[in-house]
Amino acid sequence: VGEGRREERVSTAAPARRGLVATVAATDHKALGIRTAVTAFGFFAAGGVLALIMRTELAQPGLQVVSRDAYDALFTMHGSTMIYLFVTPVALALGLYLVPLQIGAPDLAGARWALAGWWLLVLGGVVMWSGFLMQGGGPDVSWVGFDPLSNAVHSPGRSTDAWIHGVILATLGEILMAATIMATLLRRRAPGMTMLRLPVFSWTMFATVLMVLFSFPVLVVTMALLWIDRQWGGVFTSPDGPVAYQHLFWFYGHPVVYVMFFPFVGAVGEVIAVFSGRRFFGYRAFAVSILLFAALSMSVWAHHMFTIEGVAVRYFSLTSTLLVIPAGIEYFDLVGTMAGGRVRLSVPMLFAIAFLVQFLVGGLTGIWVASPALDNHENNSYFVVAHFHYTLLAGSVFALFAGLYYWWPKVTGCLLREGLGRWHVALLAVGTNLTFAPQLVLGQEGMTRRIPDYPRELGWGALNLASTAGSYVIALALAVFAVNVVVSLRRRVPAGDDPWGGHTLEWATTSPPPRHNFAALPPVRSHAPLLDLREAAS
Amino acid sequence: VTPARWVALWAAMLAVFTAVMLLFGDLDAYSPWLLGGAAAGALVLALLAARVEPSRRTALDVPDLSVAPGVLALGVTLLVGGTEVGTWMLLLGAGVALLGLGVLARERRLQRRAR
Repeated sequence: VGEGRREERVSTAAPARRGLVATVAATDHKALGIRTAVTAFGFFAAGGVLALIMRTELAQPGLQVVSRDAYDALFTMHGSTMIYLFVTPVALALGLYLVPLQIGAPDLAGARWALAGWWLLVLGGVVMWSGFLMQGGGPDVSWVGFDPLSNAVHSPGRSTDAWIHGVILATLGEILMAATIMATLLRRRAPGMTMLRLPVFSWTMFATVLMVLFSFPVLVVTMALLWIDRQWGGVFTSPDGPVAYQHLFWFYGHPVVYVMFFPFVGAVGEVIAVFSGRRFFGYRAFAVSILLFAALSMSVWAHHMFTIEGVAVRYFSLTSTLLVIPAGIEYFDLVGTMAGGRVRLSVPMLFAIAFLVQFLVGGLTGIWVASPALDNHENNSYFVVAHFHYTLLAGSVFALFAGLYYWWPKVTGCLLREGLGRWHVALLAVGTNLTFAPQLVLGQEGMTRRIPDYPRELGWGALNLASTAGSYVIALALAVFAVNVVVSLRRRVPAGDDPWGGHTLEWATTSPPPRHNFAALPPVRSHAPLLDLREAAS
Repeated sequence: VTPARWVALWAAMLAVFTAVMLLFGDLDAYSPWLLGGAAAGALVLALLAARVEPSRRTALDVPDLSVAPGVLALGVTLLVGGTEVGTWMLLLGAGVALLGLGVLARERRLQRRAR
């Protein structure tokens, strides 16, 4: 296809309807996916600013930037924004956009429900953030809202109630989005698209939405109970009430970690297969292991409660340690796909490789917190903060960017700049390790999480300063990405329909795809139908 | 293997982990119910999935633009906020939610006619 023809295809495939109503009321799954992702990135920027303020405060001993109360509100809204309003929604956004395309469906099943889900996400986010406008400032109960810290005695004021309502609304929205993805996977697969021919990314979305459907409703109920407890008491007021709250919360709170991880592993799987020029290695083992991974992730929640009396420590330690089996299978499959391939080190592949390395640090530090004896030392320390940021930021966000650079041409019809992308990955890798590696050491030395200040004589200043510098490098990396997006959209370099030599069905249609996705579908005989066609042709 | 069987396999995994939990003995009152409940719920989803047929429809199920979900979501938000703010917002939320349902019914009727 010549360049002129490419330009024409890009322009004719652009959405016909524009304007505010079209922006907020379109039911096309692609518009929904883009809208959810843009919303999530908006909240990411807001949550990131809160993180920078916190890190600035911690750069040296003493209180320089915010008060203790304001710091409490900052870490509450940073965690809440990142988990409820950014990573989970952006994972579902990828599913909304890509699952129908990957399975050869013309649209999403129950698109109106997904649209209602997006509205609830937006309104939930606004309600959650409205706490900053209320008397007493933002909510100060952390993203977990543990009772009795979050009850009416210890957290009076309406900002905590607004936080509870925001969490309920946003989570309801996420459940609706997940339900439509599940319905699409069950009902809208193209002829020949059996479950064992689903692309790797769609398999990870299948496991993801299973976890959403069976763990997120527990959070909605828990938050409703917390609100009732704050109004009238009597729910978590018994002696074991706080433990009951933690069980309920973590039954959501651990699976959500995998909800924020699986889709990005799927994205990395697609990227590694395409940029290694090989069929995904160990596909069937991957499919079974992702289900096992999801089942185990539902069975480990109380490892967040090892220091609490009365928790079945032996069981939860066993299941937490067993996670290494499916995780190992997935790593083996990803590395096995690269082995012997013709690896192209384009930006998506660089992010995918960086994910493998960075997430490994998150996984290995997980051994500490999965062991009850070691966890007693690390509990509530900066080691835990570093561990989950290595999994969520260094893991999921690197993988998210691998997916974004990979699918950007499909979504927009144009390419992101390779040079800016290389700066982006390099700065993000440097910034991430500069931010979180010192926190591993600080945690070992006993620095507690959620504190705005620390005694100068403990000698934590240098490591905290390094961590703060790292957080600004992360911000710079994200600014480079923002520049790349603007440059890509304003000075369009047409990508064509399949710039990477993709394996899956989304690359069989135009970029961006038309309203109903496909004019015609190629035969589906494996999880990589386009690779099948190329192999048959050669 | 059908999707229903994969969901059933997942339900079986959850059931096995629940059974292993029970074997350990030193349990609180909540854990078996939470995990066992999820296993039972997944089994119900597997049974539902076994009953649904793959849809071969290629025509639009829904219009390109739909305002009903937004109105409905706004109504639900006002209802939730009304529990905190007061009766007036509860009533407003109920009204907006009903309006959303009405718009949804209208959209569905127009869609049926268009088919």
